[in-house]
Amino acid sequence: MQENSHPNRLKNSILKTATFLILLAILFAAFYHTLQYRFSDEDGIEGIQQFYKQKEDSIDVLCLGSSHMFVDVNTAVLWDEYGIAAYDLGGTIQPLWNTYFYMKEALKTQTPKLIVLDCYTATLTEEYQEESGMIKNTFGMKFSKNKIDAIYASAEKDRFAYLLGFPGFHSRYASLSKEDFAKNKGIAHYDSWKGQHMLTETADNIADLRMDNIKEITDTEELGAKQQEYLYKIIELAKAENIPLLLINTPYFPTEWEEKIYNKIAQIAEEEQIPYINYNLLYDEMGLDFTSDFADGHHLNYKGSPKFTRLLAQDIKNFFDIPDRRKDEAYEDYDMMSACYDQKVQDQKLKETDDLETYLDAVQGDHYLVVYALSGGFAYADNYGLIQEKLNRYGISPDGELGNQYYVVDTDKNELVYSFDGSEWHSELGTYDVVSVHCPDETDYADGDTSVIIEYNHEKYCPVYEGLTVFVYDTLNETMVETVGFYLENGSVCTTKWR
Amino acid sequence: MLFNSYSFMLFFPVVLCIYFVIPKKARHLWLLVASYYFYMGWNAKYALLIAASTIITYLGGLFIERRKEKKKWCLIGVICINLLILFFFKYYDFALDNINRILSFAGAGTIQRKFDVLLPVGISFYTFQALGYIIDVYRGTIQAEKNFFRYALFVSFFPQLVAGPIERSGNLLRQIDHVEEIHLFSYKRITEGAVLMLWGYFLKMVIADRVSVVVDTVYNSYWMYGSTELIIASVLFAIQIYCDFASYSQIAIGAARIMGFDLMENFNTPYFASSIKDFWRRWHISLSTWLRDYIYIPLGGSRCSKLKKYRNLMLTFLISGLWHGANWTYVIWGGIHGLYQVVEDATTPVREKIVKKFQMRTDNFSYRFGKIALTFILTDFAWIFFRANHVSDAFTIIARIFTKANPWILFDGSIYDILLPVNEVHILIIALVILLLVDLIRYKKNLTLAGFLNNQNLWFRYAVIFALLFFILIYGQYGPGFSAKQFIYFQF
Repeated sequence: MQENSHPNRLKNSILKTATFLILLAILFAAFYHTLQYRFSDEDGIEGIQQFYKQKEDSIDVLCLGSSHMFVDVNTAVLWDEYGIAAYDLGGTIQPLWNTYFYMKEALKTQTPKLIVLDCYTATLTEEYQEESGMIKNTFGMKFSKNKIDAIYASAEKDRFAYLLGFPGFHSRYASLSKEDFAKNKGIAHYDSWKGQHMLTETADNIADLRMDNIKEITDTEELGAKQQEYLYKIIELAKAENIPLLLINTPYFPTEWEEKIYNKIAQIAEEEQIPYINYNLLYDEMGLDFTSDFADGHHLNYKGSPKFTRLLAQDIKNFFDIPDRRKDEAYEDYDMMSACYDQKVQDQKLKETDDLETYLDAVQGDHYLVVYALSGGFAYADNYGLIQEKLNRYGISPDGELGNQYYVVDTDKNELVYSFDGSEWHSELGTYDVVSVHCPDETDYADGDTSVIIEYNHEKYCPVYEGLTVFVYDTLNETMVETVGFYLENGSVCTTKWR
Repeated sequence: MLFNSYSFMLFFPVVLCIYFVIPKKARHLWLLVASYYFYMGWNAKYALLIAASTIITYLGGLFIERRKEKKKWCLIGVICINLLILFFFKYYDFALDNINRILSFAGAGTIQRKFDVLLPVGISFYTFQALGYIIDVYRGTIQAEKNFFRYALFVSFFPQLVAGPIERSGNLLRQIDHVEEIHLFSYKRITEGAVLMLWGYFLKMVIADRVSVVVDTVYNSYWMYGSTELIIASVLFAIQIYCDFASYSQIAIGAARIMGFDLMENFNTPYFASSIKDFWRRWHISLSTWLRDYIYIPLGGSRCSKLKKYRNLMLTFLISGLWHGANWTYVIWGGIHGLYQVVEDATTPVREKIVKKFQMRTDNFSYRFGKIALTFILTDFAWIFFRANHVSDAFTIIARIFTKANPWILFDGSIYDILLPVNEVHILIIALVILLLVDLIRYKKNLTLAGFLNNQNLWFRYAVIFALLFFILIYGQYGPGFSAKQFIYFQF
């Protein structure tokens, strides 16, 4: 009784406790923020986190679903060619119940003129998700009733722990990287991203997966009970909110059983008077090339997604009244999203270019910082004239007697940033990157490196000992595209790049 | 309900808040309800057992006090009933297996098991606590408790119910009798309790559960490993069982302290013991003093012939081994400790002569360190039996330690692949250094972490508390994918 009867002592105790709790909250928030999951954009967490940053009522077409949707529905093409302001809001193998809660969350801030729902995950049969899928489809949500419901619908056990979040990701301490500390994971213009993920791979031997008799499958198969329940919930919610709903299936190689599920969905759609388009039946209409347009059996790559998206956009334009926002200043971030996407496509095409002459032309495209490094006896190559001709555009005239030398070009400004004078050149690139170029010193020689040394983020690049090395940095997306070399061999600089 | 479960994280604050605001007269009733709820978190039926034990010992106490002429028979009756319950639930399977082995050896067939018996959590702890009470009443050390609910709370007090400390009626029951007088809002006492709990969670979640991964891996597949892994795993088991058990005691003592109760100390830097006798003054103090007061001394203790004293020691430690579990591994472990003590006592004159002959100094660090190291090696050797799944496993492990030398795994990096990844080893080393520092403070200054922090400035207190808290939150073993591990001593 004596201890706390003294008013000052009581005051002190309260003050100390309050200070402790405030410090605790600050520290916990810092650790929570650092350790939380940061999956790359294809996985789902970032999709909804970025969605929360969208301006209120700025999305006309809300695309929902799993990776089929957010890989194949190309928001850049929808914007560039049709002026459609769309957002791909999804998560990996996202079950319909997560889609439903994403939709509820999205409608808190957006009033889209159309919701497009990809129905691939209606074919799933599981009632709960495995851990990583569950995390990817719920952890990006803000704390809300929807999040609680989503976790309860998704996780069979440990729900409370998932709801707290921290117990799930506290052990990430072993895998923290730059992404965990840099703003927007160090990705430039990430705030303008609209949820689409570009795949660059091209699947081989995939054409055989195509079912020739796909249009002849007319039987139906029942959906899983939980899948059907949430499909109806999505339909009811869209109706209640008076938002048109378009059910689709993006093109891939479905099994016969999956097609029967889609036939059932077509039945449901008809009963509910909702349009449904199964694009698996329209491969030819969109002109898909099975040798080049698929990244794998389920997803289109950057060559295929525009073809599908154009057909989808035409269908949207034909059946729904969606405004063209291209001249609206409030939608400038769509221009940035589109520019970044186009640049990534350009980068990818550059990576796929092997021929020396074509490469030297392509690398002069927009938004590049290029380091040309010449090493050894390149001046005696019988195709040296070709290199000279391409570099002369920037006023670069290499001195064949010098041996190792390098030049730096900014293609946006169309100017030579650095002309070789023997000194080291270095620069900060973007927000987080650093590049430096120098001729080999004693340490490098000791390491066996005799050609020009390019160091990008403290990693050494010197792919060829003699010949031409090209370092390409995408200044718009703030990322290195590649560092490639063209070897001097048998008196010629190879016309095919060495990777 | 485990201390490291979400249920307890919710349960304890709720119990505490209500305990702080309800009328003083209802405090013991509220804690009794909370204790039974806590216990029923494992299995609601278990509550019947603890209630039965409570009623029997409560009535026994009253009877002993009123019918002094029959108190001996009453005591024997109460002890027998309690031990029968304990025997049935804990040792029935073990006894049956052994009888069947003998019968089978004699070619006389076997007795079929008619039912499965589930071991009720903490039965050994509360049975011993209740027996301690009835013996104290019999001896007249304390008066029988008249209020049934207060006595029921003494037997079931949730912080120490399932893994101790095994409290004495003279301490805990007396405090329960005066629960109305506890001043609840004491900043110093509450923060001390919280620090003790925090330290307990650190020991359990950061050290014990991290180390158990290695120990379980090696001990469950010991035939795959050479002496280096087996020695490392055995040393780590010594750390695991200490941190696991001490953590429970710390959390129990801390939780009780927050509520205004002082539970007895259960561990006092046991691995700084300089002899086996000293080890048992520092390890599981509540059990070793219980065994001393209620078994060893009644047997005659040390005030008898050497031979009888050694018999008493062996018997006490064999019982201690059997108390720990229904398996010969525990009995042998107890036997080894008994033997250690006998040898230690019997060789004292010889050892003193050697010290004298070689003119060894005994007042320096090297002498003390040598004794501490030797004691650790001996206790760790005994732990092999304690941890092994079967007696034969323990012998094989010992044989492999001496015959399958593979020291190269320490140097070629493969130790990390076998045991723990490098970063986990680093975390473990840091945690063990923290443990060593805290134990050194206790050993040298006789201060608990809470006591030590009380003497420090606020910034230092906060820094240590935050460091511990975030060490637990980040490096603790918990969360989805990790099923909260039982505290080892629950099974005893």
